[in-house]
Amino acid sequence: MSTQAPETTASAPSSAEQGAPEALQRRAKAQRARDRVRTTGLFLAFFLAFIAVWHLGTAGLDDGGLAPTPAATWDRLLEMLGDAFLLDGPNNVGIFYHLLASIQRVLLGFGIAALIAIPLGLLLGTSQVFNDGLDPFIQVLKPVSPLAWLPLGLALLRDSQMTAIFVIFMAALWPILIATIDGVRRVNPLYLDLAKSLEADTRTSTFKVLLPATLPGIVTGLRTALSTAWLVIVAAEMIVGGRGMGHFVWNEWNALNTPSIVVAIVIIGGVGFILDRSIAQLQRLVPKG
Amino acid sequence: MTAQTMPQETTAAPPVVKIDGITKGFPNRKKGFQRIVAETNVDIQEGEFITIIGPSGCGKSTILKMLAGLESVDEGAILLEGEPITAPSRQLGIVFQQHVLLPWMSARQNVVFALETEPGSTSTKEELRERADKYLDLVNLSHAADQRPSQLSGGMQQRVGIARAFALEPKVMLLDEPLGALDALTRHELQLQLLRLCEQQKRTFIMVTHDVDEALLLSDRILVMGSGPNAEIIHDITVPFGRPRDAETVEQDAKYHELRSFLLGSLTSH
Repeated sequence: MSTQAPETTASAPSSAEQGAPEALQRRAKAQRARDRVRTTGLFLAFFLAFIAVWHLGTAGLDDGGLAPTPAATWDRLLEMLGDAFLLDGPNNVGIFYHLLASIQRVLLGFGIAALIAIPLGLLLGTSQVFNDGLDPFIQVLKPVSPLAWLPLGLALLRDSQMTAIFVIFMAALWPILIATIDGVRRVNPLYLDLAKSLEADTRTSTFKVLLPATLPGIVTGLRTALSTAWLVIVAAEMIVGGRGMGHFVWNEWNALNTPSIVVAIVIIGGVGFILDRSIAQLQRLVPKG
Repeated sequence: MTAQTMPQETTAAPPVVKIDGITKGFPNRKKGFQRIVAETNVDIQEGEFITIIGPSGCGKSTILKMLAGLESVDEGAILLEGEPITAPSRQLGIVFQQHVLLPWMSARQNVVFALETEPGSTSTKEELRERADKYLDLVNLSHAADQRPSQLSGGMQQRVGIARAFALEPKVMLLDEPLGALDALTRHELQLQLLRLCEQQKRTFIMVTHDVDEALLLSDRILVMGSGPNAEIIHDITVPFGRPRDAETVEQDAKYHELRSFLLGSLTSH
């Protein structure tokens, strides 16, 4: 007895290719190919137009070379990639190591936030009393920009590296906490009735029922938190210095080296995209109720 | 206070479940407190299939939740073999209204999970698996044991839920509108399957439904509740069909139509 839903006709390989709908299928395939060509063409057109406007806009300016031209940016990109792994004293570090430092801080602060926010969220989601008691703190602290904690971090931790991680922690904490609380509240209450009727102990009902059922919500929170953390790290590093993409950008500004800043912006965007995609993959693995 | 007549033959054996003067109400914004279930007394004998039927909102599901230990009673007590039910227990198996299968587990894993949570269980994983497969086979789902709930149809999901409840081998099975969420065809098919299963697996069954035909087909006794709030049992009907039953004989019986119109009448006139 087949239990598969009969909706897989489009992707079923052998059986769908034979018979009458062959022509229809060929037409659909041709349509998809045409759409792809159009999308690519449109992208290239926009890209070229963007470069052209950029070129024309910066070529006319003669203000000591501060405005980055496309050509200068391209040269700088090749230069930076060539020296990516350079490690020559504290002031001459390749872009790879800046990137690595930023990613490390983000993952560390994000990881610590997850370790605290997920259990706390499970507790607050299940206990109305705990939640009502702690909710005012969450509501007041959540809208505070994570950067506001930075001076306090410097004062208390007396370490710029730790402070940057602390700021990321504060940035990632709230999205995970709130998504976990919300995720617990969305769990089908009958799952918990089931666990009770099976006389499951707290451990079993937490780890075998509540946590897996909350997982879709938690992963959504992790995704928001990681994006926020990546947004915040650049600003934080501009202030705390050391190594990192934010520090690099600020340093290049002090050296009036604007093409480097454009290259850095593209790299920051690309890595942010990759981080987001990797959690989105995780999201697809989590079964929904 | 109670309008029901006493159960048919008062046997010497003590009832397996005794509902002893329970009431239940909930806080209400307007009136402060609203009583949902009026004082109720029912004795349920071992092996009986009893159905509580009534219009929506009469509190029949609340009674079932109290029987399951998921809801406390305000007054009175529910006794399982003389002991008051104060918390959920594995002696009370529940078939929920909608399927309540954990979506990240296969059908078999869902049944095994229910078995392995038993406190102090000494069974091996292999034994639990065999027991799960035995009950999945009883509902004709051996072929789907490895599928996730999302891959199963609504009727199959509910059959896994039924297999899980039976696999616990509880003293009393509680069925909360077990087929209520299914389409008419699947529903009828599952009624027949449930009938066969209940007659095979001798247990005490307490079902809540608003389907008159389902009640007549499956039960030995039907308790009809009036409309809520503060609802009470207004009729206690002994279903006269013998066992084992089959749907055709039951539906051809003259008494079937008589009881059917009586039940429909008492459900709509309140």
